[in-house]
Amino acid sequence: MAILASLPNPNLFSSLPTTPPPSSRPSLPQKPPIPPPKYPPLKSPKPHPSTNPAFNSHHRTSKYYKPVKPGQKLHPDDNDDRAVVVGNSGISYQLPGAPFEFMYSYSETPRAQPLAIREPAFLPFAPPTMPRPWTGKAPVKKSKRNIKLFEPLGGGEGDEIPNENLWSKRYEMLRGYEMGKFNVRPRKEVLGAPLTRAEMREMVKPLLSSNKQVNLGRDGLTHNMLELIHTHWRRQPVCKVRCLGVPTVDMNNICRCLEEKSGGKIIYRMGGVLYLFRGRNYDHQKRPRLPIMLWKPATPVYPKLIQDAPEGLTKEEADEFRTKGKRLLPIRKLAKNGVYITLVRDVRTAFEGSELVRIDCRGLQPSDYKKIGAKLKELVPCVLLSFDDEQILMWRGREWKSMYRDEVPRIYLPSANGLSPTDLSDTESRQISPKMMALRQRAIESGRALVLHEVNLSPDELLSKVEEFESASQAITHSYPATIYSDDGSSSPDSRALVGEDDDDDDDGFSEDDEGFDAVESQVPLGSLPIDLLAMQFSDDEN
Amino acid sequence: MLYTVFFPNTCTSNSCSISYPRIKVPIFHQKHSAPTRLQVSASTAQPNGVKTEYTPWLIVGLGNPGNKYHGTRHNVGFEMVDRISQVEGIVMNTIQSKALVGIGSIGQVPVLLAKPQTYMNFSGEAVGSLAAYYQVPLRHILLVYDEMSLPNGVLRLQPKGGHGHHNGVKSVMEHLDGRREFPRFCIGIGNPPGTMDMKAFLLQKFSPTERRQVDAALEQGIEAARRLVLEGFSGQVKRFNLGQKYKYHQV
Repeated sequence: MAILASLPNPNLFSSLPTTPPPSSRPSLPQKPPIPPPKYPPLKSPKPHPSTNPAFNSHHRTSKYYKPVKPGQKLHPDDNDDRAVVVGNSGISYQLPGAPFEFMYSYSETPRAQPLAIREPAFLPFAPPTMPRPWTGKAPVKKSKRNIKLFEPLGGGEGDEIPNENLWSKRYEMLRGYEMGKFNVRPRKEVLGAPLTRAEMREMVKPLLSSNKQVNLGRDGLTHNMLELIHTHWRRQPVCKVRCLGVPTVDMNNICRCLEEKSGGKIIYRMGGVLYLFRGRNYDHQKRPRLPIMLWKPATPVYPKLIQDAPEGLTKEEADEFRTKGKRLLPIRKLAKNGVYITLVRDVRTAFEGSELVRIDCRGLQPSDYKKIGAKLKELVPCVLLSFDDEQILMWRGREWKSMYRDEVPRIYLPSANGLSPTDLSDTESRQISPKMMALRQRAIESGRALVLHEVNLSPDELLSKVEEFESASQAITHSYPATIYSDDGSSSPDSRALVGEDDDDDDDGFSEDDEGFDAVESQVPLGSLPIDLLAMQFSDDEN
Repeated sequence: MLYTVFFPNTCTSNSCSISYPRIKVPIFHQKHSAPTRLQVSASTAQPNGVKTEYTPWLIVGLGNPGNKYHGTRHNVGFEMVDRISQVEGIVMNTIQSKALVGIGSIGQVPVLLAKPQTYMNFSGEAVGSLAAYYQVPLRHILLVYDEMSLPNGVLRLQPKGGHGHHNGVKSVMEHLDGRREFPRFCIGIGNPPGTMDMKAFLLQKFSPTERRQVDAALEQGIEAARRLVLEGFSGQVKRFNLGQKYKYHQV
C-alpha cells in the first residue's frame, strides 16, 4: 500500500494524465531551438561631463529665496549701469544705453507684483567687458590661429567710389554679432509711407503656405525672438509669426508688444498667424543690436492664484461653489497647443448666464492651464476657484457688471410673467392684412387653395387630403375651358377638357381665348357644319 | 417669378462694449456681394428706436407628413410652427401648394405659417410657390428646422447660412434659385450617439429628458420668433443666441 501512496495520482482509475501539467511547476528554462540574436550592447547613459553648477537652471525649483520689494533695483556686480529691476510686471534688466528695459518675455509676464526671486540677481547677458567677441570657448593658441577670410555679407560701409567695387574685392574676418550698439532709428523713418492693399497682398502671398516662420509658444515674445525676427527680415521684407498655445488668449497684447519692440508693423493677421513687415526703409546694418539672453532666468515668486477664501467669501461659501462647479458642464475643451482667441469672449458671455464657469483643460500641462487661468483672471475680471481635475473653475466675482447696458429682460428665459402674446392679438381683433386676405380669397376661388373645416386632423388624414387636393387642383390649373357647340347653337363653356398649358399663372389667357372663340363662331352660320348634320341624324334616330 | 429684395451686406463684427485696442487688418478675400444694393422696406420707427417692417413674413416649419413621422426629431420644425400658431392664435386651415397654411398677424405684421406636406426632400416646391404667390421677400422667409450641430434644445436665429447637409433646406434653397440669404431658426437635436446612422437618428422619437428640454426650448422660441418678426435682426437676437448657447452651462 505504501507503493500506491507514492504514485503521483492516488486515484488509480482516474482519466487525468499522470504527469502534472507543465505550468504547475516552474521548470528550468529550456534552451530555445534557435539561439537568440546578439544585439550590440546598449550604450549605458553616460553621466554628463561634470557641469558647472552655474549652468544648472532652476526655473521654479531652487533653494534660494530672497524676498524683494516692488521697485527694488539690484546691482549684481556693483556696476551702477547694469541693474536688475523688480517692477510691477516682473523682473527686467537695465543695460547702459539700451532703448528699453529687457525682460525674458515681453508678452507673458503677469501683471502681478513678484514677492521674491529664486536665484541671485544676475543679468543673463554677456559680460560687459571683453576685448574680443564671446565665442563660448577659450582663446585659441597662436599656432592655431589660421584666420579665415570671407567676403563681407552686406554693404554697410557707406558709398565710396562705386568704381572701386568693380576692380577690388574686400575680405574680412569672421566677426561675432556686434551687440550693444543701440542707435534705434525712429519708427516712422523705418516704416516709411503706409503700404497699399495691393502691396500688402503681394508681400504676404508667398508666405501664406510656407513654413518659414517664427514660432511663438508658451513663453510668448521672448527677448531672443527679436533678434530672430531681424534675421528673417534680412532675407524677406515680411516675417511670419505663428502663435500657438497660452499666449493666444490675448492676441492684441502680443501684436502690440511685437510692434513696439521689433519696430515693424503687422500687415495681416489671421487667427494665430501674424505677418510683420519690416518697413520700407529698413536697413539690416542699422538695426539696434540687442544682446542675446544667454539663459532663461528663473521666474520670480508670484502671489498664489487660488486662495482658500477669495475676495470676501468665507471658506464655506467657496467650498460650496467648488462642489457646485463639479457638476457644471464645461463651456469649452482646450486643445494642447491650440489657438484660444475667442476664449475671453466666450467666458464673458457665459458669465451672463451663470456665475460659475468651468473650462476643460485635460491634456494640457499644469503650468499651461495655470497660466491661462492667470490671464483670464486679468482679462475677464474673475476669481479663480480651483484647478483640480485639470479643469479651471471661475467665479464672476461680486462686482460683476453685465456687458449689456440695459436690463431688458432676456428673451431666452421662459416668460415668467406669463405675458401671453394672445392678449395682444386679441386687442387688435384680427387685423390681418387685407392684401393677404384678398390673395387668399383669390387662391381659394381659383381652386388653388382649399379651406379645411375639420379641426384636429391626424397627420395621415391631413396628408391624404393634401394629396387628393393636389391631384384635383393640378387638373384645374393645367387646363382652360373649352366651349361646346350644342344643337340650338347656344355655346356654353361648361365642361373642361384636359388640354396642356404652358403657363400656370396665366389667368388672363382664359378670357382672351373665350373672346377668340366667340369671334370665330359668329362667322359660320349655325347648323351648317357637317357635324351638325350628324347630330341631327342621331337625334332623329333617338326619336 | 420670385419677388426678391437684396438687403445690403453688413459685416457683423463681434463687438463687446468693453473695448481693448483693436488692430485693424485688411481682409483680402473677395466678398461675393449682390450686385444691387436696393432695399425697399415699408417700415416705421417705434419709440424705442426699433424699426418694424410691415412686409409679410413666411414662417415655414420643415418636417415629414404622416403619423409615422409625427414627433420625430426631423419634425421639430412642425412642432415649433404648431406652437406658434397656438400661441398667436393663427388658425392653419388652408391647403395651398402642397402645404398646410394659415394666415394671421403678429402685432401689425402679416404672417403666414406653413407646414409643407410633401416629404422632406421636396419641401422646396411647396415653399417656393407659396413665397411667390404671396410675394414674400427672400429676407422674410423664416425656415424652422432641426440642426444636428447644436446640442439638444439649443435654438439659434441666423440671418443667412448654408444647408448643413439638411435635405429639406437644400431643396428650399434649390427652389429659391439657389439663394441662401433667408433667415433660419435652427433647433438643436444633438449629434447621433456613437456610430449611429444619421437617418435612423433623425427619424427616431425623442427620449423623455430630451422631450422635456425640447418642450422648454419651444416655449423660449416662440418669444424669440415674435421678437424677430417685430424687430428684425437686432442685438436682441444676438443676445438670444448667446444665451441659448450657454443655457445648459448653469449651476
